[in-house]
Amino acid sequence: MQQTITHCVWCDTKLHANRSWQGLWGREQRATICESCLQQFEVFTQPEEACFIYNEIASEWLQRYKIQKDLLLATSFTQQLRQRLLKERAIIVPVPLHPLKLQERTFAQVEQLLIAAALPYEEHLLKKDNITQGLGSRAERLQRENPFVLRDRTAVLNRDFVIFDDVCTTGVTLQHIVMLFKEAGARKVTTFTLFRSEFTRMMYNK
Amino acid sequence: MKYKGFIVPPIISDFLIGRVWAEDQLPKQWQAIASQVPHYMHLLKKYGYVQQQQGIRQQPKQCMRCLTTLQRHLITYTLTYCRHCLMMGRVTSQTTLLTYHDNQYRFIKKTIAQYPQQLSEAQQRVSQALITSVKARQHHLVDAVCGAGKTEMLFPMLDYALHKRYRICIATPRADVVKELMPRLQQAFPQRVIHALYGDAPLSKGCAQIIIATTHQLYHFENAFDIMIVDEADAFPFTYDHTLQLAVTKAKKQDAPLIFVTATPSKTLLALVKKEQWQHSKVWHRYHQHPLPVPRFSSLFHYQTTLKKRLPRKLARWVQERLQCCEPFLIFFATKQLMASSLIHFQQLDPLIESVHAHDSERTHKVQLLRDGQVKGLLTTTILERGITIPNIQIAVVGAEHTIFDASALIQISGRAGRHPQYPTGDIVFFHHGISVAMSKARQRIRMQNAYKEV
Ligand SMILES: [Zn+2]
Ligand SMILES: [Zn+2]
Repeated sequence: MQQTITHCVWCDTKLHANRSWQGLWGREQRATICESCLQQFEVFTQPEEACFIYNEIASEWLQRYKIQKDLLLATSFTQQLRQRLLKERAIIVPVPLHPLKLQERTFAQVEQLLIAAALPYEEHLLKKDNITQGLGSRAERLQRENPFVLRDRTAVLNRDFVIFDDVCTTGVTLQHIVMLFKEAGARKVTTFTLFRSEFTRMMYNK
Repeated sequence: MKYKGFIVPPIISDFLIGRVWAEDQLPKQWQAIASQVPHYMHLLKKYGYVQQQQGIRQQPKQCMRCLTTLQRHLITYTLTYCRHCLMMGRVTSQTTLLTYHDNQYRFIKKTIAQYPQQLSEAQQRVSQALITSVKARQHHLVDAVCGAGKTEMLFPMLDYALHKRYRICIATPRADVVKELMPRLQQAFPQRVIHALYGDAPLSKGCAQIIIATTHQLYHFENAFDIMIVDEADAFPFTYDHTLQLAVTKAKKQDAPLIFVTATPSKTLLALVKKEQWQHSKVWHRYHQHPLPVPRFSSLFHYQTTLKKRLPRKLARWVQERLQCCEPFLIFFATKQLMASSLIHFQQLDPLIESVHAHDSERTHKVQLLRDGQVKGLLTTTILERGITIPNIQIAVVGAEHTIFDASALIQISGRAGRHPQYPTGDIVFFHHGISVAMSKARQRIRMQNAYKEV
């Protein structure tokens, strides 16, 4: 996307060019969403876990971004993402789509959020095909039902990671991934999402 | 359709006639015959019934569905997509848009019509003028006040056009108006196929001879209509959205007459009417012959600060009077936020006061409760400024000076009052923090309309 953004990506009203001093130094990216739209997104109570609460407008946003495939929305929260992730020393890992899903959607929604915010990241995960239910011990089943695999298990050994996803509602997806990293010998694994349901309190995340 | 060695199932042709449609978004109704669709599409293309074009034209870039050329609407990554008509399903440079034209298609000729034949003198005069315009294929502006009985004036012309086998579109900016018009037209012309199109409307069967649609739905049509009626032609977003005007032109056949119906024609529209020598009818009084209620102004300084804590006294008194007289009322707010935070103060006066806004799924239901007297008053954003009719309704606007209330919005809001012949009056108060130009303009125009005598 090369276009310069002159209008709010959410409501299409003209944006005021209120450049801060950081803007002048090129350190801060300009907001692409207007103040009154931004206000409707509620800041998440634990800023280290997520940017915003997964509420009505957040689900509307995700609907437009992912289902209607409005890629430009990836730029909506670059400032908020940078605020939390720019100083992060652990490696950021985006949660991937299944290759077939990616083909249908034409863009990797989680990765695009990081690209828009100009944040560095590494791809370590692959999403598998539909898993077949079966017998086995609970641990085995959990392992087998994990929809993700690591690309290269040796690459995660003794390193710190922050798993990044667009939204966390039940926490199951992230739980699967954290488990995967820990088993392969990662040192510290945390998670961060753009939106998070207020009722999700996860045990593994500190 | 002419026999070309194959017959297309009507479910396909009925839908596609006059439409411009993305091939990858075929309607759900076709799922029953999904396996055969590619076969028929192939034949239709082969024999030239269906034309294909790329969704986004390059150089200069343009969305071929909504016709926008604005750079900020056309976003490029590995492909180009249009943000402007995104809510109707994404069109990209990889989309194939289909258009289907069948000049052989015939609508039925003879049917019964059951619309009220008693029209007022003014209504009759306009309806005759409209028939003349349709015959002469001339554009026509109907400048009629709120409550003049616009729909009734259209009936004789529609009846004439339906017999002529014309295909007609009635476009209006709001889905509420579409929903309100639909049953009235279906009742008037019970044997005609009429479809209502808006955001999430279910698709009905058959090939519609009358389509009642929100203006955005016009993007889906091309060269389809013999008559194009644009209702509430002044209203948001029609006034300043250039592409919607292109859509009107695209959806109608080239020589099809345009009929604009509005209570508040803009200067631009009036200038256009003059320049292009449209026919122009005025109906500046209501069908029940009573004058329009005139809004009064009442200062409510710093209402925004006061409303955080309590109801300003004047406003509270106004509401209490309505409650005592058992009069239903509407209170308009400029923003959803202000309305939401004030609701609790109103509910302290009476718990049967409710609020509605654009994304309220209970909207229609709440308006019905107000009509039935089960809700005593409604707080609302501008969403209810048009279309709704409730006998003896009383109106207040809180913060009438806000820029969202332009003169035409205020005229529409005032137009809600006094529509019923038994209650031809009604209080309209503009509570304000300073009188705006729009407020005086609105009041001036209403007074002018009341003073006007037909020649
Ligand atoms: Zn905005
Ligand atoms: Zn478009």
